Amino acid sequence: MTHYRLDFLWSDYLVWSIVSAVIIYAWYVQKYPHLLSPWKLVVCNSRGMAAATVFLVFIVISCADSIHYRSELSVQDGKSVYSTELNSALDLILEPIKKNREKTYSAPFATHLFSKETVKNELGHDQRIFPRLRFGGTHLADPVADWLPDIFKKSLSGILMACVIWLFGFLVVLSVMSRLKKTPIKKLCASIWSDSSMSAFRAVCITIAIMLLIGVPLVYLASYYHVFGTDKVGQDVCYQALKSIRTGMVIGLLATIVTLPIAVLLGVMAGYLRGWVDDCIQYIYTTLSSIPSVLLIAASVLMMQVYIENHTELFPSAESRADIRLLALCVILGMTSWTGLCRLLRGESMRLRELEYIQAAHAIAVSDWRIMMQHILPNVMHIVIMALVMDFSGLVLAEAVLSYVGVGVDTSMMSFGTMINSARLEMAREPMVWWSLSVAFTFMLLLVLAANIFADAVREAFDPRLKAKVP
Amino acid sequence: MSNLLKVEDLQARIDAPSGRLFPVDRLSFSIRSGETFALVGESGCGKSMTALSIMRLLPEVAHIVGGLIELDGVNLLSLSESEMRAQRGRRVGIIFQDPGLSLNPVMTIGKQIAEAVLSASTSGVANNYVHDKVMSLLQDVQMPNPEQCVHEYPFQLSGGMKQRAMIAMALAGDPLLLIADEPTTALDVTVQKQILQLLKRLQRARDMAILLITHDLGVVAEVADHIAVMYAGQIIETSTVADFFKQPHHPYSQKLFKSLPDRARHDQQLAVIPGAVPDLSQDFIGCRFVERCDHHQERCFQQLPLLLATNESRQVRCHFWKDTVVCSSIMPCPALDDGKHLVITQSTENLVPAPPLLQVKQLKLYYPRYGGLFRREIGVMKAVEDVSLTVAQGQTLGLVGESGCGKSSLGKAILRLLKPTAGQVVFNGMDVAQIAASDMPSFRQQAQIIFQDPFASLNPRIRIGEILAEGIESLKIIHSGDLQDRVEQLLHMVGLEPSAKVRYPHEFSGGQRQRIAIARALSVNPSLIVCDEPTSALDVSVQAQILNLLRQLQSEKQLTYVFISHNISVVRYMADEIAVMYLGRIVERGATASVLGSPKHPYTQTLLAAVPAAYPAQQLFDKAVDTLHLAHSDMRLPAGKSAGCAFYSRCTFARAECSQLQPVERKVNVHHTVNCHLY
Repeated sequence: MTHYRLDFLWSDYLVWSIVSAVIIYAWYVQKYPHLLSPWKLVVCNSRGMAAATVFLVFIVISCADSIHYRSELSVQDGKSVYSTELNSALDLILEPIKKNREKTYSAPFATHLFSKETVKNELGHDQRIFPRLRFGGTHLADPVADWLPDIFKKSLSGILMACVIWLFGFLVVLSVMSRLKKTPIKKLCASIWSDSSMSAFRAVCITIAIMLLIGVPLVYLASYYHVFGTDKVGQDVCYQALKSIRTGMVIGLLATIVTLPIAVLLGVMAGYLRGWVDDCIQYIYTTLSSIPSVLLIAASVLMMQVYIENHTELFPSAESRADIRLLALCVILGMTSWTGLCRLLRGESMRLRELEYIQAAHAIAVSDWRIMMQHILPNVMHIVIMALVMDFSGLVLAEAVLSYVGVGVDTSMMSFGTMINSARLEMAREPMVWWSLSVAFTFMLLLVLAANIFADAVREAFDPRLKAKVP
Repeated sequence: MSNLLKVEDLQARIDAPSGRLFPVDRLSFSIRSGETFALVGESGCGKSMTALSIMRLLPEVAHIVGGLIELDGVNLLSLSESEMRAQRGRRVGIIFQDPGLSLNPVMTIGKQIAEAVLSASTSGVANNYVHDKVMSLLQDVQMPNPEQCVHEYPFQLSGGMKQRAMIAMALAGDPLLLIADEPTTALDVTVQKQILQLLKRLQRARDMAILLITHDLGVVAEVADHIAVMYAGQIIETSTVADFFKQPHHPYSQKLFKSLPDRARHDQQLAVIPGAVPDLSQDFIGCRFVERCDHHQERCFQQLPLLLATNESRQVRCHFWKDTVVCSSIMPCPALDDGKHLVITQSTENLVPAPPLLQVKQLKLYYPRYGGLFRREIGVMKAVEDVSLTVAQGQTLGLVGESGCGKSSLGKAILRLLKPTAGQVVFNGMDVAQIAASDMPSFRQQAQIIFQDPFASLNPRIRIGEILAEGIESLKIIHSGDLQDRVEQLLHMVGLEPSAKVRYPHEFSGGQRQRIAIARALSVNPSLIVCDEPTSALDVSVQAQILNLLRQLQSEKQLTYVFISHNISVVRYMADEIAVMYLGRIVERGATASVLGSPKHPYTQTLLAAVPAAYPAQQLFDKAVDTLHLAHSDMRLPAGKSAGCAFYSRCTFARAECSQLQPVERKVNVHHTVNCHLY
């Protein structure tokens, strides 16, 4: 049995601290009914919950990709020698598809390579053929005749499996619920089917069902084929896409977290305090936003790169270098993208400071700082949440653009951006290699869309004015 | 005369997430051509929904689910949307409450009216026809200077002129029926008077029917022929206006009258309607008013009363209307029926006045005006100019004036929420205008403010308990017992349940929110409270509750009030002394009875003449003053331009010296001064 040594990267620590912060917040919220009630509304929103389910899958994947370890190679003098390769829990799960590399491009579900190669046949003659893949579809004796029936059969059994898994899970949840609510299962079923209060639960069940119906057959097929094809060096595209999720998530989350305090603090201060504070802050963000952001980011990233290369002793492994570059990118993105939110918040705070409850707070001698934190901040939170999610999506997309330009994440790190970057050449080929780009596009779309819809639900639930409007 | 509009069993439904509710429930009424029909009720009773149903302009969540709306023989509910569009504007026009929101700010008035003319005419028309029509409409609505007006944008016009433009647009298609949804609520009384007169005149000239929707019984008494009172989606009483004002039959209508502060004596408590309008999403079995009614009996809970005809022109929805009529008459009576009298340290004129708590001396408050290329300061707007006042401990000073006269600015300058430009505000011996930062907390603790809009004055994100605790914490007020106990005590003081502290402001009604705002002001134990229009956003019955509460707190805690309002009758009820403001200056000041009983300044007279009285027979004062005053009361001089009296341009008694010299304060009697050259 091999031994492992956990070896966390800086971004891992950050990811896990965010996760634990969310858990602590949830635990704190459930103690106070007035904090809990808007979240109850979120839970009742069927669209939001369906999106949350999808988003949760992405989160689980990126969390699994944030547990890094090194495996033990041998023991020398009682000391373990660990591999230089840093793996994550996700790599462990995806071991089979990670290992099974082809020579070069192959289309999704292909049994042969995408391009012709010269190989020697049994008679020793050179032949230009599409060679069989090393891994994809090797179980087929006659790939031409058996291919389609095999895929059909396997997807069908995959779908069957998905149904079984879904039904089993559903029944488990149902029995737990009936135990908790003390209602017979039959009645519960009927209420889930027809009751409007259960519509969110219904939506989650349906989302899970759809994900299982697509996912399980793919997983099943993935052990026989490259379901999303392979790239230039024969790497499985599905593996790349799954690994890219974490990069996107980390950039989205961390860069937003960097943006947030700057934008909120400066925006609220400028709008509320006015005067010279406002002038200064406005001056800063006008200057900042008048520099083309790609230029600014490119310059900062290049400086960072030089620093990392000159201080190799600080970053011993290639992974840690790539990781620190990712973090630096987050900080740089965050530092350059706060101006939009800041401007919005300044405007809203300027409107709010004229409202009567702010004047009433003045009349009872509440300090400026407290007014900003207690009275203005909660009332601009809906803008913050909206902007956050828009930014999250925007940042995930920005990473793609930057990596495409070549100033994004390290080339060794898998990300949607690097996938798209490589697609630049692939799209120019004839015949075209389309799958890398489409897979990256689909995954990115799912991630961003799920985040947007979920955030919409959160915003709706948290805006008391929306609730007050209902007569 | 035949019926122009016939509404029968009209039912509108709103599908809210919390359930279905019927804001308009089996409503039947009819309007004859040439008559003004007033639909009266408190907010949320369904009167605007009725108007929108007739226009078929209900918001998306609401639908008409039953009934009949027949306009001049055409069933509007059976028309298709395109046919209905032809009805709107041509057959039935509508004007809304706030002319500022109903006009497009980026189009000139002329273009907007022309648009209405074009959409109301059937086929292509010549350009000059449109122009002529626009001009004639503007003349019809008596727009001052129409040639100039057509090229102006809404922001260049005053509120009254905007409403005139709105009326012109509604009249573009010569409608048979004009629906006026609270047409004067956003306007000043003097402007209101003009608009009401205009509507009456237009009606006579065009033989047009008007459906007037209002909450103001005074407006009804001024202009309406017929009245229908709505409560919780139903009509509870219909009558001719004359009969109704002689003797309302339904207990709710009677209560409405009693809660008006117009007639009540200073030392009496106003009658209030306990409780609140019932939640419309419930299933009603009995009478909808039953829980708030003093006369309810067993039957009222069991059976919904029908709209009974009491004579040929009256209907009332009450089982026992005969009994209720006997025991209450609305005309002035020596004591109100519950006979509650407040024990108030009466500050009649013959008592020695208490020492002054607040003295304002020559107070000036200017707002800088910016303009030009680099937004330089190009001048000042004189919001408050040379104001001097004295308020004694435990008294109420009423500040009266139209919007923009500087009364709110004065109130805020007294509290140092705005920094005065010059002058003194002496409060308890300290000059607030020059107060040191270290003395600020102690001043803040003693002087507080209550705002007009209870929806804007409470932070929607903070729970009530936190709102009330905030002042106590920030001023570090020492009190016995726990902070939470103190919060509960405050809530109790303003008549709310202690459980309110864990709820958010949006869960409360307007009246309850205003109570919370009062509790917040009281949380720091102030001796002076500036009440900035505290009841103008509230319904009449709720207004009575709030006024009673303020009076009760005053007598319990020896509070001093500066009571700012544009509503003369509220001020009359609340104030010991009155100061009338006009364009930043105080024009008349003195004991309430003296100022309102025999107003001296022409402006005060104009103001009082314009107040619509809720009693047709009653007049607020001897109207020696002709309403001619009102003719050009819409036009104002820009503040700070003239050397003479600010009212000069509107004053019918103006003399040569008025334009040259600022009038000084003259004594009318010991308790009454006026700033006018006439005296």
